[in-house]
Amino acid sequence: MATLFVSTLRALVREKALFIWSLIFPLIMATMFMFLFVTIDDMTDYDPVPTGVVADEAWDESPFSGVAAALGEVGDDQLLVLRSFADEEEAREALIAGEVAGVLSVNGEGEPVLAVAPGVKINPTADGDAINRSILESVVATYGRDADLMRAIAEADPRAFADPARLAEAFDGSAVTEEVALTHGAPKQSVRFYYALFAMAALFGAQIAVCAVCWTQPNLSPLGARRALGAIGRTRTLAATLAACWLLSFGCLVVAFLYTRFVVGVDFAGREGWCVVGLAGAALVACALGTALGSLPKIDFGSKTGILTGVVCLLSLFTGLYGEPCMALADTVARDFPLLSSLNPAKAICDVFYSLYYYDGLDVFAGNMVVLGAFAVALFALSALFMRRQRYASL
Amino acid sequence: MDDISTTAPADSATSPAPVAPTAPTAAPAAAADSIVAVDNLVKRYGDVVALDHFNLTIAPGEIFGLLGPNGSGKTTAINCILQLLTFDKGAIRLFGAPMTPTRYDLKRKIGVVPQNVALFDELTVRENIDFFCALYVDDRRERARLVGEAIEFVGLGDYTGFRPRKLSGGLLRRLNIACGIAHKPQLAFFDEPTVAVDPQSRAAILEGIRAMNERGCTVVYTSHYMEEVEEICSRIMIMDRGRAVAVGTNGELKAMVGAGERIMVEVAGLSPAVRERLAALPHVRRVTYSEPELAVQCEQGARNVADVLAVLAAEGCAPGRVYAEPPTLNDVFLEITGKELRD
Ligand SMILES: Nc1ncnc2c1ncn2[C@@H]1O[C@H](COP(=O)(O)OP(=O)(O)OP(=O)(O)O)[C@@H](O)[C@H]1O
Ligand SMILES: [Mg+2]
Repeated sequence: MATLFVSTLRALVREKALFIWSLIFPLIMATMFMFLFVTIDDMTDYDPVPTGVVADEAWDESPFSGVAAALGEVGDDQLLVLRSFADEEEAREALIAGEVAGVLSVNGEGEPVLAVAPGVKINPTADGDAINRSILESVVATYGRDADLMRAIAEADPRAFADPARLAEAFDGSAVTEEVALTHGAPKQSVRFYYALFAMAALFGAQIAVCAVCWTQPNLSPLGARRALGAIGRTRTLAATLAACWLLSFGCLVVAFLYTRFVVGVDFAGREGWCVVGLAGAALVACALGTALGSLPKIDFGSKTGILTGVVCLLSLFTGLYGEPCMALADTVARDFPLLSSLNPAKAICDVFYSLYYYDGLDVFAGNMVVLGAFAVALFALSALFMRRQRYASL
Repeated sequence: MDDISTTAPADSATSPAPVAPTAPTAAPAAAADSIVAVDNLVKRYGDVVALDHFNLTIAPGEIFGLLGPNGSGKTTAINCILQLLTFDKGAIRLFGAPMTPTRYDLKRKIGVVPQNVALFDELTVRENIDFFCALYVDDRRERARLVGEAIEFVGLGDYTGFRPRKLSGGLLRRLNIACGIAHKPQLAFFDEPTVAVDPQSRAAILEGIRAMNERGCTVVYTSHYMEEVEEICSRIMIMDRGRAVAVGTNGELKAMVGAGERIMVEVAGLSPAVRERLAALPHVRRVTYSEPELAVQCEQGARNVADVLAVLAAEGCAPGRVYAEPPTLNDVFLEITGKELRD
């Protein structure tokens, strides 16, 4: 049995083609993400935006001035650095000179107005400008929305203002800083992509099992037929083979994980150990998926690899791996078709990581690991249907 | 279960009577003490009847040859016997016990050299042999010794670190053989083991099989090379289209069809009339002529060559080279089935 395990592992390790998808691919993708996500993460790690304010009468009378002042308070979550100008003219000069990213003022109707000067550089990076501008735009837009909400509440249920809890409820989600407080770590947008990447890499690892299962089944290869004539039973053969597959899939994932953690420098909220446990579960699902696919009769290894690639790419679509629009699609599908979403092993693997990142306790993580286990059991059971045969009508 | 799996069968007191190869004239083993007993086996692949009420009895110690043209059912018979294939009808007993896919105790005593080379592409020669040996032998040290012997047996000593991909076709076959017999089985199936093997290696392999047999291993050997089968097999079954058409020793088979020598004469422009006169000779069975080669197939007789030459002389033909070939299994096959064993 030990020899069986070691030999299988050795043969698999030397099958270099297997590592293209299970190892090289995630390493390359992680590296690409590293360069792609520098800006996205900067957005969350922003420096306060230098902002001009036309401090005229209208400004002083508008509640917006209070909001702006609050956002400009010095502290950890300072969003704006306010600089007051006596009139529009002065402010415009500062804007064109690039001293401020935008100018806020309040018009005759008491509505906040944002003035920006495209093409003027303030930050060393061009994208920095765009981000600063969008922060300012979002400040103005959020205020507009909240003001509308306030008006609506005032009309419908004036007493609500007396109850701060109900007000907070009404405004839940509108403030940028609120989300931060709820999570285990300080969340970065990009981390989702790495989770989706791990899920994809893990499922690609199924190829290892597809290959190894082919070596064990009489109807799939002459080698499988030959092995069936030996004095070792099918169950023991499969157990040793799958153990080797799992170890190798897991090993590939751990290498990709270590690379992501220490070379790419992705933050896993200090839960690296649990992440590795999650990877072990992901490798198990991959093994099971590979076994199920590998055991299908009458399809050759090349076609199975093709099928696997297609399926994994499709499943990864719903983890949002391919970019923001896709992330939005993933969220929509998860919300509107929860059942469909819950049948996606790639999603299940992502969820394991989310649960480590976003929740303080480990309950949700444990629950998600159970889900992975269920996937593995279901897939192994499916494979058993094809691998139960001891004798074949033809080879 | 006895411990024969890890010892040479000849050393084992518990193995079923390892005996010297049966004498050429030995009668077929009675089913009771046979090592392989196949009774009325029928195997169909869809509409194709691959084995048609096939019977086979092999006594311990034999080198039994299954001889038949492509598609005659040799491989199918072996795969049914070893329970790799389902079959429609029949019974199979090995070592006196009914064979099933899970009789690992029986499988442990059996070695198989399959027709299709079955190896790990990514393991070296030594690792491959060790892997297959490990399907039968658990003890590592014991296995190291067996693997070494198997490497020597097939003469792959210079190639132990090679991957199968780097071996020539013949060396690959030899590796395939080593993987099948490293555990010193009591019963070994060789399915066309010498395809693509050069004459020297082939001689070495046949010699090795004989040596295994002398140590007590019963051998089932399939081939469509009749020379090989004639050379090493103590008993031969000739198969055609899933049926056993004849069984016996080499001599018995030839005697059975009364085949004598074939007289070959080089002679130009032979007329049909002369061929008719030759065919009319008492011991002549068949005359074929393809200019300038005349072949006269005779029954056993003392005066065949003289008679043929006398006819040619009387007709005024001047023969060139003249020689006589002893009867072969091909003649036997031809006699029984009406077609050549070899195309
Ligand atoms: N998997 C299969 N499906 C359908 N028919 C098959 C299959 N395998 C073999 N056959 C048919 O069964 C018959 C016996 O084939 P088998 O391989 O046993 O012959 P063989 O004597 O071993 O031939 P060879 O000398 O070419 O190895 C042939 O007619 C063959 O076409
Ligand atoms: Mg064959």
